[in-house]
Amino acid sequence: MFSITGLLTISGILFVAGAAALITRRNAVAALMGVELMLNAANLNFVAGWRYFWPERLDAHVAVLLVITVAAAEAAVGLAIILNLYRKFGTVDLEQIRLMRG
Amino acid sequence: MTIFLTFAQQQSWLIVALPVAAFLFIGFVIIIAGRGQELAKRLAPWVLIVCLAAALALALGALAGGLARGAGGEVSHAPEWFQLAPAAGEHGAAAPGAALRFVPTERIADWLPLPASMGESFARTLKIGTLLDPLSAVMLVVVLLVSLLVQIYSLSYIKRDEHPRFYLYMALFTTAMLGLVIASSLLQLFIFWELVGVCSYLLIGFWYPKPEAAKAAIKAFVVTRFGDLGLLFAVIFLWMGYGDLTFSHLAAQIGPAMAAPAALPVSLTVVAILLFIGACGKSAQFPLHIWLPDAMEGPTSVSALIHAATMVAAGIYLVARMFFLFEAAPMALIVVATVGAFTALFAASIGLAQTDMKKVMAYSTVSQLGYMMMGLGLAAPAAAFFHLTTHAFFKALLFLTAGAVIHAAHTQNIWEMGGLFKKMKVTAITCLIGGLALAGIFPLAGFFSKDKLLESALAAAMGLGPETISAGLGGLILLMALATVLMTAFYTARMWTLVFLGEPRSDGAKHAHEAPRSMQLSLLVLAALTLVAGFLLVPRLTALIAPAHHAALAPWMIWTLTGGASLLAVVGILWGYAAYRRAPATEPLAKLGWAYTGLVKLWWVDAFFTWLAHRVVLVLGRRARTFDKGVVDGLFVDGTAWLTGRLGVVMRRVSAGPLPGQLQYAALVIFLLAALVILGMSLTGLLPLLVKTAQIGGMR
Repeated sequence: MFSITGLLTISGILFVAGAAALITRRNAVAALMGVELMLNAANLNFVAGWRYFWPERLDAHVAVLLVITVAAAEAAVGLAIILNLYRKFGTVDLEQIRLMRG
Repeated sequence: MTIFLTFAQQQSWLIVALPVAAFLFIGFVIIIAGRGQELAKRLAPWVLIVCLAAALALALGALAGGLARGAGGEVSHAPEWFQLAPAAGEHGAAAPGAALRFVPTERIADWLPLPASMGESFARTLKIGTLLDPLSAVMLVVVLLVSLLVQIYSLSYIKRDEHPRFYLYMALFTTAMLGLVIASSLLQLFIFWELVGVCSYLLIGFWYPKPEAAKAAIKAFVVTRFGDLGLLFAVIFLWMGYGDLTFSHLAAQIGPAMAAPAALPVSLTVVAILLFIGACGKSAQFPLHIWLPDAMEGPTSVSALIHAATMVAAGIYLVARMFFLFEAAPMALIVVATVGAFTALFAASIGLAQTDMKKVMAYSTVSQLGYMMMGLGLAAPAAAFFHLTTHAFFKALLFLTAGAVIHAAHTQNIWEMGGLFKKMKVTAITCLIGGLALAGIFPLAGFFSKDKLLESALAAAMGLGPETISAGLGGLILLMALATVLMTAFYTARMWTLVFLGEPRSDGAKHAHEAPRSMQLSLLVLAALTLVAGFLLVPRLTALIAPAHHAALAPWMIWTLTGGASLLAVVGILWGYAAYRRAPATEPLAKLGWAYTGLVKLWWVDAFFTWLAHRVVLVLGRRARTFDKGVVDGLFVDGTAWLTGRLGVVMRRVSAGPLPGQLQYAALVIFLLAALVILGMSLTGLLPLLVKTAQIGGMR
């Protein structure tokens, strides 16, 4: 079996990898994938917590299912936004998309 | 009759209410409703005069009522505190040799309960009320008498167009002064104390288009403020220490043998000196005397009432009222006596060389107030109060004659007068009576009261005064007092000779004419009072406030002193007359050399204060302004704005840029915040707790 430390470490690595993707990648689709990674890191945390701290309760399962649902919806909306961005700017490079002057 | 006396005693608040009524009537009905109407202008003085006459009747009733109860064999309820002096006999009011007794009446109501939210010890009630004892009863009569005569005098002295405003201020002043006198608590006294200050300001600046008058009004207001600050602190300290400011309560709590309560933040001596500083401001004692001579810019009737007879005596009244405090803190008496005696000598010397008739009298007033203060300091409050009363009469008389002279000769410079005796006989003779009383010539009022004060000085010189005043200091005080007698006589003779004798030295003096009847009436009544006040009733009444302290003086000593002082006065008068009889072209005093320069320059006290204001206060003020502009405004206020603006410029680049930059910035901030939380927890020792909690969780 995995120890809780190992699970949390994996979750941490996943989260940091997702965050790094989100803030460093210029491609909007890749940034969105970073967000998905971060969500899944959170899911892993929930499951690890359930397994080792409160195995008799179902809160964590509810939360994980909710996150998966939201992630799916978020991906759908996110991809739709990216599609619209591409139609408007002809690119999905985040560095080149800017409307605000400053 | 008895009913009236009892009524006057019980309802003494009416004495204050009557001038209030006059004030409101003149203010609302005459000035607002009857604006500019001739009838209104004629009516204004009479409203006040009638109210004052009624109040005077009540005050006399209250005085007589107290005496009647004291004499009527009635059981006396004079409270213990009424025995002002520790050496009092069986009854404080029974001065040796005087069968008169006065039963005080005190009526007190709750005024303002302070909430307990200010702390348990502050949950007390402020009280308001009236107190009729010999001090206040006599003072009420003096104030009302002089006020009434001055109002009658002003009928022709003040132009009719100015009547409503003048009598409005006068009504307010009389209200305030009576309220001050009849107050039953120190706080109440303080409120009216400030109110007389305001009225003094308004009346000194009565002719405000004249720049000197406006400046003098401001000077008087500002200088007396320094004194008032002392009084305010004394009031606050006494409130903290005793929790009740009524005189009866304070007098019962403060005794020579009693220890000061722990709640009193400073010693009683400090409280007494603070109180004395307040009295110094109001009564123009050195070095706060500088406002009084300038106050002569006001109308002469104002000078007579406020700046000679009543308001400036309020400081003396305050010290006499709170005398139990000074007895409990005898170290403060040294200050009172020394400042008083020095002021008497100092101001008299300046009076020698003044050329303005009113200024001579102003310095004379300062000097006489110094005498009274000296008497208080030598533990002779009865003598001081006696002198206060007689001085109120003769100095008001002198000022009113000066008003008549100025009115007639159109100048205030005594060198431009002369020869007025033939033209204004009534004025000249009443002025002579006032002047001789001031110099202390038998049998005028000033002779008796000044003699009592000199007796207290002699007692102090022989070591029989208050125990804190050594015989050496007492001797010095006696010398200063005797020198003052000589100077007083000299400048009085100088003034009278130059004004009334010789040949007219200006056109105004040539065409002078006698004062109108209403002015003469006031002069004659005051002259009559000056003639009799020294031996008729007044000494016995004023002796009621405290028994004489120094019965130990042998009769021959008193006679020698009286004779010596009278001799000095006569010498001074003859000297003054001889020196100025021919109205010499050059001032004979100029032979004094540097001392004369000092006299003319007012001993540089005014110059010193001007220097202080210009070179010290203003310089410090500029420094403070630089600090305020540079550090407070510049560094803090403007600096904060500048920093925010610069930060905004930097931040704008981030938040208006592309998404990754913003996200990086957000990540950085989250990281920093997390670091801060962890740092904070480790610094406060909470981090091990967190780790431990996680470990416990992990073990499950």
